[in-house]
Amino acid sequence: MILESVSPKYLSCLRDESGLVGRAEEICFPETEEAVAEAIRSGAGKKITLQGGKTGLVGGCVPDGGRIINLSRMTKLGEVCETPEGATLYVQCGVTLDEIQKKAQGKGLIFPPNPTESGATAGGMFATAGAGPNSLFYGCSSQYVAHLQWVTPAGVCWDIPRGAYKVENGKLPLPDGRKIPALMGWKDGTDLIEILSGTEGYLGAAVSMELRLRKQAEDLWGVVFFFETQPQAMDFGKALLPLKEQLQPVHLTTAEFYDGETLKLLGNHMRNPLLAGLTEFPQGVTSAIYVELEGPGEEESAQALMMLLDLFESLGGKEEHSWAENGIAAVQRFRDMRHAVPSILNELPEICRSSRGIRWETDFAGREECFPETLAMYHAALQETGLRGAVYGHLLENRLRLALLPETPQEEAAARMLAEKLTAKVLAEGGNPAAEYGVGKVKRELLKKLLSEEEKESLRALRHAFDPEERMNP
Amino acid sequence: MNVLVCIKQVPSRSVPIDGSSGVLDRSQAGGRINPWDLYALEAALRIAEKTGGQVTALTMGPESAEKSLKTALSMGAQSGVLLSHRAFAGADVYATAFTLAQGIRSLGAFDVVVCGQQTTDGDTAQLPFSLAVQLGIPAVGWVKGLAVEGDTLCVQQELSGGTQQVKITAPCLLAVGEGIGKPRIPSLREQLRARSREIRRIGLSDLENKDPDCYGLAASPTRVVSVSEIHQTAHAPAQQLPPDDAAEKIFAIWQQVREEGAYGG
Repeated sequence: MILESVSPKYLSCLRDESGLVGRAEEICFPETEEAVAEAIRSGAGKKITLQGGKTGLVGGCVPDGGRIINLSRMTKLGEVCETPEGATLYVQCGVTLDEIQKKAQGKGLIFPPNPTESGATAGGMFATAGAGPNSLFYGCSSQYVAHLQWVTPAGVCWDIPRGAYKVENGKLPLPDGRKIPALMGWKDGTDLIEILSGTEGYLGAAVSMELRLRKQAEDLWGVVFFFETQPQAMDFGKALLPLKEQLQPVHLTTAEFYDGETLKLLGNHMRNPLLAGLTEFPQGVTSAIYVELEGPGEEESAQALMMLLDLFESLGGKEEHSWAENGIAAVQRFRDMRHAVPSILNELPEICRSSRGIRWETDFAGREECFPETLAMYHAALQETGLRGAVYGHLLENRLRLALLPETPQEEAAARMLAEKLTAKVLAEGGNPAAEYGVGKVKRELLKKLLSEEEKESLRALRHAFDPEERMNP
Repeated sequence: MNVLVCIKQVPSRSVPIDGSSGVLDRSQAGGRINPWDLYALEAALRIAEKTGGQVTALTMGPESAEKSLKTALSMGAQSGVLLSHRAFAGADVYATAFTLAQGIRSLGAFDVVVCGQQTTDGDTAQLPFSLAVQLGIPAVGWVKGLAVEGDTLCVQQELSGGTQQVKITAPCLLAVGEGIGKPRIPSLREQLRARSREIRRIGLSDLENKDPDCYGLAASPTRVVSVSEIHQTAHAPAQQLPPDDAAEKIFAIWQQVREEGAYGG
């Protein structure tokens, strides 16, 4: 293992897409599972931060002193293995989503989770329980891990086939022979793979995995519906919930919302390469909902699309206020449009960030059917504070984000207070205040403030079961 | 003006080259309309809209290429024609242009033929000019802008280091690049309407020349001997020549190159 000091050439390893900048004394780039284990073992007593594609938005891989273990050179990619039970693909944790999809598509397959950032790594997706717009149907990335190689904070490699370690009678058996009490509300049957997913490097490193692949849908459609008023868009969204079942055998895999401010933001950045495939938005629209449908054939898709069109037009939608594309290559432009939103937000020069470089954006998940209430809550908050903000995200799962756009230090302070207030409200109502991007370092302090003592104790107990010295991702 | 657009279904992902024949192995490729042809369609639709004409989309390919024609219909083309026969398979640029020219003649007269500048599979960028020769009409390539003035097309042509304004009258052929402007995105209603529309099919028996040996691999002079990556080793900057003595200067350069034997004398 080669350890280097963090010289200026590694400055990019001190930050991620959140804007947060950290510090570290040394860095290494292991290429094998055993080398990762050794890098953790040999760093006894030091803080250790695991790093992948550095595409995270909450500073999860930003170091706070000690050693960085950068996993971007863990790039072994196997061949697709097709068996009667299904297809799998071996990947090391540094392989990117783009590489995984290319390999899968070569065999007419896909890796279903689609976090919009194609440079995200397999390890990063697992560490953050990454999902994406199509999680409405496909769920999150951990569901597609058939077999996991895990390196613990003690530097030991664990081999974890799915189903081998599950919570039973309130106890979770671990590969080292221990049994720990069920924490955080784990139910009997919960798999260790699911428990380790989303732990953001606190409990160790996902170093390699076998991913389950699926056959590509026969007929894929992407449709953007534009609305002149926001209530029209909400009525459309509300009607989609029950309609979802009626569309069968066609699956509604994606339903993404864009409010007027988000559309304006995109419209002002049409030169962004991610928007190269789009024309100007229709005149006079104030919001949009993007849906993706996957069907077994053209006829079934046509019926499902007709149902959506009838619904759209019954709510006053105009013919020229929709865009529709068929096939994975054509639909990509709409996926890129969704990806463009966080990408543009991250690069806005006029946005005033916190003293730590943080941009204020909510990442909530509430009760599914309550998305109109979430949207109303955001807009009321913006009106009350006079702040500017863009609302976008997974509509039917009620994972709408509010990206605050303060332009002065005073507005930035107001944005921070608003983010805290909204987080407290969502927590009080039983929602999840860190639904998709994770907690990282950006939301850690906020959560410490807002979690109950019981919840904090439960998190501490889990961490101590794996990492009693609290060295990992400090 | 009535406009005919030539489109092509290309693989929707990267495909291997068959080692024995040197042609692309499209068996596992899936298909989509060649992205450059979307610009051709956009240009064709603008000409027809401006002049009150009709747009016909034509493609040569297997049955599955119908999907690309439906894309053209959803964007606003009035009709789609699939030129298909097993004798057409394996055609190179010359044989494809010959087949397309036969197909176009069988459909009647068109004022303007529009092609995408190139394709994402063969990528030769030669077909539009070969087709123009076969049809006996003038062609303008690398079109990045256009306007219609009566029966004249005022075309902006992208050249190395500059833009050339060209005026051309029908019948003519335009090979269009992405500078023409973003292709329109069909509405859901237009897409659904296009799915239910009929595609006209023409085969070998509909063409003036019915000899199968004049088509496809059998009639293709190109043989792929090997495939390798090329690297640019030198760069000659573009020169702007004044119109008065351009021909003389080009001749002088050609003579110099010839004397130096740069192209084998």
